[in-house]
Amino acid sequence: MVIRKLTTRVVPWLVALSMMSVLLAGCAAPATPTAEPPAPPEAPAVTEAPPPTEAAPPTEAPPPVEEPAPPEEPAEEPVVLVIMDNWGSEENGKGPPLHATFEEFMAEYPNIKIEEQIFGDHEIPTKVVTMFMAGDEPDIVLQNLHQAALEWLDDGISIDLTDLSKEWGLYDQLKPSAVTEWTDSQGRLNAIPLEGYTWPVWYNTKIMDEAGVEGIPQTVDELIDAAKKIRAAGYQPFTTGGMEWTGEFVFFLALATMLTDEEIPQLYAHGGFSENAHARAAVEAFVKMRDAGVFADDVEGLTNAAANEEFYSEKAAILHGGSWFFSEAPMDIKSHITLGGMPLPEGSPRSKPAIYSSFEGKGVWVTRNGSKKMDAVAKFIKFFYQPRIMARFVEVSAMTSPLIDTPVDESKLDPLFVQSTMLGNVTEVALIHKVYVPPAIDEDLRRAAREALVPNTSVDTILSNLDDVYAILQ
Amino acid sequence: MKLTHRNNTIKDGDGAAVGYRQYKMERDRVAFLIFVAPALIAFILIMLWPMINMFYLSTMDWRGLVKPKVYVGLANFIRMTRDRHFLRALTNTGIHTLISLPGVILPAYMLGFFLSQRPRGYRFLRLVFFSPAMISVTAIAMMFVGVYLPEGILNTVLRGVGLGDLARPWLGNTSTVLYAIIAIDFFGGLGYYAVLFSAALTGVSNDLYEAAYLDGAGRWTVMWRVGFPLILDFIGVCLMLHLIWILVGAAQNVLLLTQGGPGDYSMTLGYYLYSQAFKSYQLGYSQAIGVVIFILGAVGLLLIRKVTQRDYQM
Repeated sequence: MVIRKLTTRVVPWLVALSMMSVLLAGCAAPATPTAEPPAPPEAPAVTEAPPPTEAAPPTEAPPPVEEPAPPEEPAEEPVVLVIMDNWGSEENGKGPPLHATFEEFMAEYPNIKIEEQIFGDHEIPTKVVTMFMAGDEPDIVLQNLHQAALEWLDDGISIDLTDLSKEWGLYDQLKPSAVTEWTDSQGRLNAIPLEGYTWPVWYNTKIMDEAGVEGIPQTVDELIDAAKKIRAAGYQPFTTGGMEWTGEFVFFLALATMLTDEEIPQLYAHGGFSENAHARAAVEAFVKMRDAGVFADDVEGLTNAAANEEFYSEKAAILHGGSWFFSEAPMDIKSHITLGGMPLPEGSPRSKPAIYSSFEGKGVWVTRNGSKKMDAVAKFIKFFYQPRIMARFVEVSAMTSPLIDTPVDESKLDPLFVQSTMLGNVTEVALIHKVYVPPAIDEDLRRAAREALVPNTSVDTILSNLDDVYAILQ
Repeated sequence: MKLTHRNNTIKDGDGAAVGYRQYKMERDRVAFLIFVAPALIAFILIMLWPMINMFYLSTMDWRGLVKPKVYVGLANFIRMTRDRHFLRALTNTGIHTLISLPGVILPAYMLGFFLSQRPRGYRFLRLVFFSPAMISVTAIAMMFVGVYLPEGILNTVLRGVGLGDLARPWLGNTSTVLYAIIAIDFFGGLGYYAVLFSAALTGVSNDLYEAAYLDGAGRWTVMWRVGFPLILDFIGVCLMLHLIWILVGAAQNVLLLTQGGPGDYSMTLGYYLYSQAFKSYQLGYSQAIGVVIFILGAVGLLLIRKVTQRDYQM
């Protein structure tokens, strides 16, 4: 009888409970990649174009970067170099030039075979860490400087490249601002900066002219006034993906219009938005814009793609879009797009509308495993950072080259890219906050920022939402 | 089919014959257990380890797979009591359960009963009902993004029928986002469970239905007073499966549609667990959330078992 009870009652219970526990525990057990839920839509594709402050002019003299070493003797031991990136996917414009570069490199160094692993950039941190734990991480990773990657050096996943990049003759060829961004507080170079971008505000002057808006708004009040006129003309004003990351960055850029570059690292690393007068003033200005109808109808429910489509189809007049969008914008609207910055609230410490421009878009990280194949890694990096190779990415995808000198064919450049190189005259670059956000709170901070776009969310709620995120760091 | 009350054990005599029969039955059961034991042991070992691991990790402060673990006792659980995202997730999961569990299973049973009556074209209907189960969660989520966008299908239809005032950004609105996500359960679950219930109901003898009709029962009565109790055990199993889906599986929809937003208005326990583990790298805390989900699930399964347990056998 006891056995019967066991089989009919206890066993099904054990099975049901165990199944549930496996599902739950799968979310943290050391070898978890298979338990990961499906990937989210599109991660912030941080890939892109030229920083206005020091963008390399389109036509520059060929650089004196060290020429790659001559091909190895055939007798050398064959080496497989494993490279993980998100550029190689079909939909990424950098895929073809990247693969062409790999082919050229392998032709020049027949003893080195490149094995490419392609993942979304939001997947790469987890992949790298789990592979590191198994002793099987890729040798080189192309990844952004944010979230978990900020801790790779401390965790021993990647190595400091300061001395190596000098040894390779590369350090002095890199733009100083790029090197600074990728150098941590201890003076270590996290990775070799690869991809810079500009992230301005796009204004459709055809719509604005039709609506009777004169010039690009420089202040919040001018923007509010422009939005009213744009709405009256039957268009949506400022569109963004309020449900996704583009919406977050509109809020963060609006916040940056009131913050100084000294305040940004401190605030985003430790919190304290509610007590910061500049942050409060920025949120008040943002809420004022939101409540005055600056943002498109139902913006809080828009995806990135829907917002971009609204702008590309000329239903909306203003968009905050990174230079990685330059190539996807329809050619027929590019002629009447003027790039500018986020208008400033009253009392802003900045003198011109703010934009983002950074080199944190992508870097070449060398891992622990890569350090064991340093000869092959060095050959690849020196080959990859040749100006003619970098020029390919600038021409194809409006990427800002990390090199001081990059010879590009001007005729191949996107007109918006060219326009963005002159933004330094009319905008001011704000530090991009995400480099300073501790990985543990990155996601919560983004979610809190998106809520600012939701109607009726008060200034106090927004500020306390931002500060609450930092509570877990205590 | 003969219904026999479970407590009415048959006592048809004494003596050696009865003793031998009982001995044989016991022997058969022992043999059965011996045969299934290897699979059972392997199953328990494979399943038990993650469970123990989850409880163990829930007492750790562990901030990344390559970071050291520090024992913190119940600190992760104490943190939950003042973590407003967790409390919101707990509330949202409760709402999700209260709506989706009866809201999906009971109409699914009605559809299943309808199918089991083999109406004209029932084979085609069965295929139609089951088809959402053959679509990946990702595809369904993407489809619903198109439905819920401000210029999406739902708002277009509402405006088309003169109900434009009801149109809103369903996934961006704090008061509709959770219900928009719960509604996806109906799309994915109704037909799926209906087909399962229909299959279960085909095992019920037509004699029982005919007897009920002869006694003057209508279809409604037959559906709820004859069919329903006869497959109550099976309905219980489906309720358990759906509860586990709500607690754990539905996190996929949140991840793909809103990532818990706007703010934390669509945060559920399952998604919060994922978010803490994979996005915030708070592995110890995520496992503490896992323990809470486990306990809630166990209590829920127990309640469902209690409610759907029959006191008779077929």
